[in-house]
Amino acid sequence: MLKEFYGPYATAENNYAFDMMPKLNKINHTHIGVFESVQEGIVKGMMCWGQNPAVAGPNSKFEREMLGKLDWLLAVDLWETETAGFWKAPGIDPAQIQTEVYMLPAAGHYEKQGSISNSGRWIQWRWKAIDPPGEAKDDLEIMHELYKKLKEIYEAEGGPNSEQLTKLHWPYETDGRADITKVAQGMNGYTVADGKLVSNFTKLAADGSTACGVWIYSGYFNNNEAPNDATKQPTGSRLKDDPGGLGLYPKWAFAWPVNRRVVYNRASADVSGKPWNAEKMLVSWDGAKWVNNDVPDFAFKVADPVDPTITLSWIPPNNTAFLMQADGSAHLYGLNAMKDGPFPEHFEPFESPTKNLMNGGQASPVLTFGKAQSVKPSDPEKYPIVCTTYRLSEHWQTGGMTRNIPWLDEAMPAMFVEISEELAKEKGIANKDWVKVFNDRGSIEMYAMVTPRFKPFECDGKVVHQVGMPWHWGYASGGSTGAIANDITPNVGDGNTSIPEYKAFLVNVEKA
Amino acid sequence: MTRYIQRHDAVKRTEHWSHVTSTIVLITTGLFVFVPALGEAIGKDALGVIRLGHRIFAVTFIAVPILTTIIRPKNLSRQFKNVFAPWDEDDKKFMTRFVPYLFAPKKVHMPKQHAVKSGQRLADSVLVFFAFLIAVSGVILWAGAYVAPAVITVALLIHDISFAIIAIVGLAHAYLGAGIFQPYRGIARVMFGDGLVSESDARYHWGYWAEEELESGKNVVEV
Amino acid sequence: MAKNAILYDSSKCSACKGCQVQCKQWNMMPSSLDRNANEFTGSYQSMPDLNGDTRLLIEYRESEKDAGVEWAFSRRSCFHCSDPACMAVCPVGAYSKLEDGTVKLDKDKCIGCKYCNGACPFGVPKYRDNFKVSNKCTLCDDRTGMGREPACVQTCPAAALTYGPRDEIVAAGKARIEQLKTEGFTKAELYGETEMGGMHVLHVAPYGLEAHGLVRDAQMPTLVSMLDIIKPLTGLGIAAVVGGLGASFLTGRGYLRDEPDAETASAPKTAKEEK
Repeated sequence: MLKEFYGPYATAENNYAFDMMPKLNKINHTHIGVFESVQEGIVKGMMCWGQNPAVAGPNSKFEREMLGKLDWLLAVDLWETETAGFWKAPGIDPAQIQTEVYMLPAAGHYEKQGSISNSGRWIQWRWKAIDPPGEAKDDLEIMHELYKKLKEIYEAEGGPNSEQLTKLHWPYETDGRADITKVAQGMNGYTVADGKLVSNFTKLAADGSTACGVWIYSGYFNNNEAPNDATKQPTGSRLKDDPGGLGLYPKWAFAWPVNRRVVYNRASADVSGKPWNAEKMLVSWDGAKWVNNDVPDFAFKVADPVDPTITLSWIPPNNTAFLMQADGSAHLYGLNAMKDGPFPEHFEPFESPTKNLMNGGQASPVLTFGKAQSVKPSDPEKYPIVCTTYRLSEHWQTGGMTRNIPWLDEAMPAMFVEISEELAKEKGIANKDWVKVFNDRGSIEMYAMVTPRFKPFECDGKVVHQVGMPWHWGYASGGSTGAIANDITPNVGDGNTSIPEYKAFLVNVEKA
Repeated sequence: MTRYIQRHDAVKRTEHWSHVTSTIVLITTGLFVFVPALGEAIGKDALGVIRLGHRIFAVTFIAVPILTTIIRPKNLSRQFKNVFAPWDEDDKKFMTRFVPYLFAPKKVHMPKQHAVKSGQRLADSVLVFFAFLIAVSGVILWAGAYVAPAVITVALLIHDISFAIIAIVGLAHAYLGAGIFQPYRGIARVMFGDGLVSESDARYHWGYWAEEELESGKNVVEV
Repeated sequence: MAKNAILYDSSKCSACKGCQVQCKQWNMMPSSLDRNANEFTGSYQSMPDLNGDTRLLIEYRESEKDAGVEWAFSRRSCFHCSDPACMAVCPVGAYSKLEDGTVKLDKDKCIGCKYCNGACPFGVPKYRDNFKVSNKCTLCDDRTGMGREPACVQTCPAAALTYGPRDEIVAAGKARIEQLKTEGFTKAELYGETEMGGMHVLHVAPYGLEAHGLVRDAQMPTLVSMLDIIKPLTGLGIAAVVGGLGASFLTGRGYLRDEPDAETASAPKTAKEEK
């Protein structure tokens, strides 16, 4: 990887430029952490590529305020999102904002060539259907132009750690324009001497003779017979063969790693190598050799080092199936891998209307940012109602795209909060009334949807109400606008990942 | 020298001319919508012209009677008086003898009548009433886009039924009023001509009225 | 071509509105381009009813039962009746039935009179203000005519919509009802088998017809039947009157007004005689 990042500059002498790579420090650099760092003056500039923290971030009102603390903000997106135009948010006085904001219009996914990956690990190459409108460019092109310009400036003026950027290996250009095919080749991996693409990660060496941007993808763009033609690469393959009728479609796109469609497929057969379900044979030991419909996820044969298609010997089945564990066995819990555990435990959310009756604790003791000033935790006395956020079919993420597509916007035209009939009665709220949902982080207004599908809970002898709302609306759009749900979600994070606790927090509700 | 009575004034005759024209055009143009095969046969563009004509003459159908009533309200009030006048023995006799009279006028003798014959009082009321209904329902159908679909269906039904009634009664009205019916020969002059009716015709048709008019002399003309 | 039909199985429907949006896209039906132009309905339903620019609408009905909340989804669109009221009432013959059972509205013939809007017992055809004609689901006859499925059927990710020969669709619908009953949907019913002469869009209604907003025993509306009778009756009436008056004319040939008699005392000679 380092050989790909730093190319000729990376040699055995300088440890392949390992010192050039930024290292983790004590600061939590996750999403929540970044905005805390803005508040502390550590982060001064930000690039948001297709990201809309002004709407999607937890405690988004706070995040918008932090955007106003930046020296500069670069927003790359298809439309002017709430982030790109954050100074237009209700409650912000543009005259007070000193941030220099740059908006670069980006191409949509039909307007550029490249690959898309799904949650099944399939990487599929896609082609450009139409030119982007106006001055919009695809992300790679923007990145490329930015890199070239920054390199120019750093080479002329110098600056802290300037070699991190100026020494980068960046061959991703053809005729002066960014070339995604070259990126793909770099990600697949190749032998440095002759530039030939490697067949997969097993051909990568730790001696600088090979380079590979992403080892787990290696093999997705490995056809040396047509190295510049994505249609002839595994990722560009669109063949519908499905041997065994198992739905694996091994020639349709490329599943990383090494086109293995089902990871840990050794576990689809028993200890003796006999498939648990004869009709779903992924791998099978026939007594003398392994037969397979999927790329085996275990050491199943010894191949000739020169010509891997020649099998020297077969490795009979044993009782291990999990390649990524040192002992090859499944583990019920991860040793030294998680901050909490080893077993799952019940904790109440950071903001809860009730005591944790299970274990004498309350919320997770390892959650992050629980003490940050920006969090403004909700007092259950003032804010006794549980709130959660979720998604709709008709909109996607912060609604940047979907609220600009008239058909979708019409399909679900307004922001709302779902309330139980019981709570509505208590608060004198009728269906379609305009209501306010609030806590110390923010106050937002929207339509009430009173429904029997929400019901109050009884927790520890008390009636606890719950309301829920989608988070697809904001103030920027050609179509519908609406309140930002995340203005009231807490910016506290999971102990291991710092994923924000968007889905359970406390509020109060009133007719507005 | 023959004596004539001025039965209908110029305002009334003008209104009647206009109304007859409107009605004939409305029925003709309306037929192209009423009978789908006709509409289909001439095509959408031609049908559009026909429908436009229907609407133009619908305006005159409604506006002219209103206008003439404003100019000469007496005509309307007199009509009302005639319609709601009491129904006497002569009237009853008229109605029982009318149908036989249509087929054997030589043999059947009709009783003396007042200013408006019993049958005509009935026919006029029906025509005016259904004209009113057809106008209102027609306006609703014309308003189309601004009206609830259920209302349109009801309006359509009323319009169709009104048309049926008006057509049927109107045909009889025209047969008699234009003097196609032999005993009524020459009577067309009264509404379509100069409005004069001869003394003998007047006595034949509207005996009591003729006597009153001849006695008062106000509307009598000697030619 | 055999008679085809769509089966909408509400028990499989996730109410994602894919069909609703796809219908608009395939038929290029517009949605407003203005800011905040669309009203909140108070539920997940996009708008209160079909309209000139929307031919298919997913409906949401909630009702609280002992066993829990029934959230009944329904597909509101043309049922393509075998005995359609719209066709019966159209004054210009803009409606026709295709071989496969599709009820087709020819927009080139439509004069925008809106009679069909009122006649349809389900209120399906809607007037398009900007085009001055009515419109409704076409059963994608432009696609089915080329051997493709209707757009809504193709797009449904839940396989809640299927399309095929009507007898197969009816059989599948019935089988599904039986299956649902074994799963506890005691009120499950199939809609469209016989209503309005048999429909070409059938519904599996797991919670019963009323819960899904379906009209039980849907029939040709009385008003429409009456309109149907009016025309021939009027024709007969006019013919009868013309005939009668004609007979009256014939019997009156050679009529001359009599000399005055006792009943018409002061009746003089006719004007003709006097002249």
